[in-house]
Amino acid sequence: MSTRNRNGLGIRLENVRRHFGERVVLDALTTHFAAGEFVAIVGRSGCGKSTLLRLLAGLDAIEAGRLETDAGPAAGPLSQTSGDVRIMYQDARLLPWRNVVDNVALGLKGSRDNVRALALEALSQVGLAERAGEWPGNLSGGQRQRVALARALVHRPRLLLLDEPLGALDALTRIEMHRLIERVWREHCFTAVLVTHDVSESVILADRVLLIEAGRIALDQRVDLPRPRDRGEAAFARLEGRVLGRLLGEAPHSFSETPHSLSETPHSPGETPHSPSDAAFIAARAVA
Amino acid sequence: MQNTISARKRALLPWLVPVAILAIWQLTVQSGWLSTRILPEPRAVAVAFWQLLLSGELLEHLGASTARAATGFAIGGGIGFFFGLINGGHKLAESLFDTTLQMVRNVPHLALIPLVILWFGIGEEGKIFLVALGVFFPIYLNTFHGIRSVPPELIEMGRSYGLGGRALFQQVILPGALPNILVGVRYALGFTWLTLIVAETISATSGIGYMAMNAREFLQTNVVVLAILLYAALGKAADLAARGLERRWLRWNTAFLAA
Repeated sequence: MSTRNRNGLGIRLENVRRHFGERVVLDALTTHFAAGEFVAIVGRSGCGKSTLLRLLAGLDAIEAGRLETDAGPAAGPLSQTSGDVRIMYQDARLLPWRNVVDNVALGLKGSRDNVRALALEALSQVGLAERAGEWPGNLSGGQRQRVALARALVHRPRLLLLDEPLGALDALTRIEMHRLIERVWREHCFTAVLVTHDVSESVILADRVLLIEAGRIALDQRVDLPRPRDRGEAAFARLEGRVLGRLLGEAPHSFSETPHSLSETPHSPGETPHSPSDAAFIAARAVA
Repeated sequence: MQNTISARKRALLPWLVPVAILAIWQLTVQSGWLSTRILPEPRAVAVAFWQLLLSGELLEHLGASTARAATGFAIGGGIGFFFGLINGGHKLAESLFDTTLQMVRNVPHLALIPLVILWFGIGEEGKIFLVALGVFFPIYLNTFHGIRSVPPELIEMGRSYGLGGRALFQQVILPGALPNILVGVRYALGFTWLTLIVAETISATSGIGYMAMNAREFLQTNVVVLAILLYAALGKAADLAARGLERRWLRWNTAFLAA
């Protein structure tokens, strides 16, 4: 691998399955995330996108299938303790009893001064160095997410997982966060996997948008627009429209909002226009 | 300027009623309207305080009571904290111990006094035992509840940031349980003095309760009232100390709740 992409972690998923009781959440999912790639995963509630993220984070175990990294096959879940994989949740999950800089320093090892210096550096990257001594309770929602981002960045992750981290923020703060996330992604060159409800957000940020339906990849869309992207552009609107159309236009029988009913309406593999694994390989090659 | 004056006035306001009560008390006794055998005048209580302080008796009894309270609190609180931690942290321990502890909890610990006197006589052990028993349950219940109320998302986050075992306990679980634990400490301090009052009144050869019972035999109502006021002051001091800990350890809490 080139030195530029040293930070990114490439990941290959093969026939990954996961179910909760009768309900199949991930059904033989196969895809590939290239090192340094920014992938967005969209889909309706309950489609399995958050489950996929939790598998990548090592928070849940894989029941069947394989998960490999470009460093070699992952023995079990991806290592959490090495700092290679970090996750940002929908809520910032800051420890309320620690001030901002100590929250960022969570889990860092080394001398006290060194840890603090690293945490302050990460805080200044997200523009919050001057709030280092405050309690998380005194910050706004957007500021808390920025602290959470700094807390993830301080470990120099090779894979950053974003589980709808902007879902609870107001529109203006979201736009600022998009810019911030894009900037740190370009500086740090990690692989980013963003789960979101917001198709526009996925097209703004991602190199590739994966649409998951009933535990399978229904669409694998490359986004080849120059960065920073402009929502007003025709190409942007076309791509957004295509993903959104696919998301809305799916025949209702293969999707259900209510849990436990998916097993009664099994998803037929012939519906996808092309094999999802092919699409993943094409995309991966294009990045490599 | 305007602000400092009104702030000072506001600080004095809560003391207005107690001072008025004290004045009325002094006047009613002084005028002979209330017999000194029922209630001594406040001045006599102050005199008793001064005399006992000079003779060294007061400090001796105060020391004996405080030592009992501290020992009983440390033992009962320590055991309660331990069981709260393991039962809150491990399902197995909870199913093993919790039902038993809940059953024992329904026995009022002061009802054990006759039995305790049979076991330990009127020595120190019996009183310390009762205090420890009274302290155990508030600490146990609140520690248990505190551990359980730590948000699971924060624990998951801590794990995904490489914290495990001791680090997870010290940095996430214990601070998260601390607000509840301190509520338990405040309740337990109340129980400590309550238990001691009863235990020392019934069987003791030293301590504030003994001082009061001794004075009763000689009809020294002023010493009896002094003992009551001393208990109140000790309870208040313990509560202030616990509040001090809360203010120090839970500084983040006000900011957190306000947000």
